[in-house]
Amino acid sequence: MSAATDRAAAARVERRERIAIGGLVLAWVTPSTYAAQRVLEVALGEAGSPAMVLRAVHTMYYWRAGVALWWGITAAVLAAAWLERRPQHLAPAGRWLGYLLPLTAAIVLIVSFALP
Amino acid sequence: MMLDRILQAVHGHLGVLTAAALLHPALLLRAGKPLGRRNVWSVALSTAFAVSAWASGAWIYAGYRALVKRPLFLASERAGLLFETKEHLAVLVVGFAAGACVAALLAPREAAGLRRTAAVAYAAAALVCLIVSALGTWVTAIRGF
Repeated sequence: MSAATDRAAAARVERRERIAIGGLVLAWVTPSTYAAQRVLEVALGEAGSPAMVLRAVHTMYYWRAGVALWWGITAAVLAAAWLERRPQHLAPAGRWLGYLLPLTAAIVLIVSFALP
Repeated sequence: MMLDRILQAVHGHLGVLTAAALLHPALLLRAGKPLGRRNVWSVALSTAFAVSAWASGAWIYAGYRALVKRPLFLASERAGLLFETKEHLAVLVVGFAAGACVAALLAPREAAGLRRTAAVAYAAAALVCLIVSALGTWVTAIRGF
């Protein structure tokens, strides 16, 4: 009975850790996807000049933000599901996200100023 | 127009307050210690601040596009383009704050590393939010509602 209770408690802790990592994956993927969409738009020849920026409809922003959030949530769920069978990767995943998040912030800053 | 002007002021104040509010969870979480009940509220409310600042900006954007965007670009092309930059960076702030909030609130007691990573995300969000607020203030000084 006690062993079963311990196992249940350990499983609960592990689940919370997986979801927490999923949250950090959301933080990583959402702005990355947004910046990637912006780069793609400019690469396809859109909104490069002020004249085009004026003509661009604002729904593009909502779409970019919406798609980015959708991918962020999807990646978070997939990461949590992937880690369920690989608990040995929980600690390294958390560590890597600690390096990735400041790097992502720097890249998004550069993209936002370079491709307004 | 008057309502837009009021909403613009509310959005601007929310933005500046968000930059300060996001710094608080960064400081709370940096040691990796589990959060107490009051600190849980603090983390959640800071994130709610960031989301509401972004949402208020998204709300007035339709009016901005119709009434302000063209005169702004005519007054200063640089300011117009920096407004677009501000919008892109706002997504980063909200994404980082939301993800860090989930991590901070759900990380188990033993996972100090995850809380420290959430602190890094909050600190980055606060810094970028400060840039967003500065850009917004500068652009509004050139041309607002």
